Amino acid sequence: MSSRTRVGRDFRSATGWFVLCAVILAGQAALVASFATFTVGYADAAASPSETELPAGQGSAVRVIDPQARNVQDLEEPALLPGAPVLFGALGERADLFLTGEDGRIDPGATTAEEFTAGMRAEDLARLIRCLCAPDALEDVIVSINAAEDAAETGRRYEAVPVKELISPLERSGTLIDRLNLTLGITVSLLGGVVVAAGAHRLRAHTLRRFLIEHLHGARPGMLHLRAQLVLALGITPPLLLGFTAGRIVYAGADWPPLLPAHYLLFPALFALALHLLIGIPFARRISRTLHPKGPS
Amino acid sequence: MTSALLHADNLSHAFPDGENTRLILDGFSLDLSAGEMVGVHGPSGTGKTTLLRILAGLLPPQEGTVWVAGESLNYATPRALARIRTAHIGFLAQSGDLLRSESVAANIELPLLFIRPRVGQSERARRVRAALGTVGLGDLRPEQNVDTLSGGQRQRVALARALIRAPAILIADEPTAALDAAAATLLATHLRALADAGTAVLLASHDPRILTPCDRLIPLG
Repeated sequence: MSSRTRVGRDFRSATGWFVLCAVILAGQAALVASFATFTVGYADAAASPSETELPAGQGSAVRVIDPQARNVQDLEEPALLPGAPVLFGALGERADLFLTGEDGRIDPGATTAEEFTAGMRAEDLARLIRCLCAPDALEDVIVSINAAEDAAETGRRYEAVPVKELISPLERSGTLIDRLNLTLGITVSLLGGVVVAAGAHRLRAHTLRRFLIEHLHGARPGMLHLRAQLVLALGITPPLLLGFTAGRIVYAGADWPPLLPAHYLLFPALFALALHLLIGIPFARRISRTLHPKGPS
Repeated sequence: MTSALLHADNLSHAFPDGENTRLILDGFSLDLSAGEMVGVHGPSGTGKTTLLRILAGLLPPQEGTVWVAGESLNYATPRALARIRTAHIGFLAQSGDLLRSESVAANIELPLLFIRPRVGQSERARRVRAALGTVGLGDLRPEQNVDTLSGGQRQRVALARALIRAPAILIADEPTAALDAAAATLLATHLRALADAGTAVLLASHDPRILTPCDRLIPLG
């Protein structure tokens, strides 16, 4: 039986709890993913207009960004705006379609706005079309998009508005539905935390007994500690990663595989690290106490 | 140092007890030679298990020295202690301490997994069958789940596990604690036979059924 098999047996000793904890962790990671998407997106979006001056000669340039990052095409040399890149982070870092202020031309391959922002709500789309310019500079773009929507008979209309008039989910907080969502989210997280804690306790009990027996028969403490941390890492990281990925797909409308910019990976990475430390440090102490009891027997 | 397989000299050990310390062992010395069966006895809480753990290299002594087959356990690194244990010592814990829901073979072969170079699967299976035969369980299927065994069978499986590396020293902690009279007597017979075959057996118990066949008895507490 190899050490790999022994790690497998560590898992199997508490299989039921492991499965439950994995599901809960994945769910929590999905919540983290959605939280990251909205919070970072809106924080970045809110910062851009106030921090950037409208550059001379580039005020009519517009960038449309698709979170799915499909069909990347530069219609012509894009006029990049200083404030625009911060908007990418929330949505995938890559531009799907560039529109220029000069002619307001849309990629001929995309007949409607819906086509390159599939599955997105109007307010999501509104967040994607930005410029560091006055609203009327977007008029040509809006006309083009609305013309495409009319041609497709979707019934959708878009309009250019100042950024401060965009209503974000965060700004809508305080409404009944958001309070309910918040309450539900906290409740689910707390329940999940309880289940994960119970699972960790169960795993600890199973593992400690096994480790003690193995130690009595020749296993080195260092190897047992290493194995415990490895089991924890394997138990925490994959469910979190899967949950986060699922969250990105469901909440942010990303494709498979979703783009995961570095600053989004920071959320699940910190979450996994915090969880690992929260469980791993007491676990290591318990292993030490079990292998080297401090009382008479 | 003597020629004994296991030599302990002037061992002392104390545990914290509130703001004070409680002295469990005070100047304990022991020589255990091959073919000898020695019993340590005394009431609960007098440090029998602590003593056995120190002698097995599982707990460092606070004072005194321990030598196993000519190697000092004092100041040995964890890696060295593990090597000494795997090379010379078999440990039979209280109530067997088998891995629940695992097969008889998985339990018995456990000590072989920590030996380097690795012992191959077929050799492990051969040694498992031999160890089962040694403890009178030759007709037991190695793949049988240990949860289906009786208390006496479980303890003999644990004994087979302790013997699978053919250790020079067998240390047994309360080996009959969970056994009925017949099973305890059978286990005592096996331990005596092991000692007669040259294994140094050290056990801690307050059960006269297993202390009776001992060559020497050492009281604690």
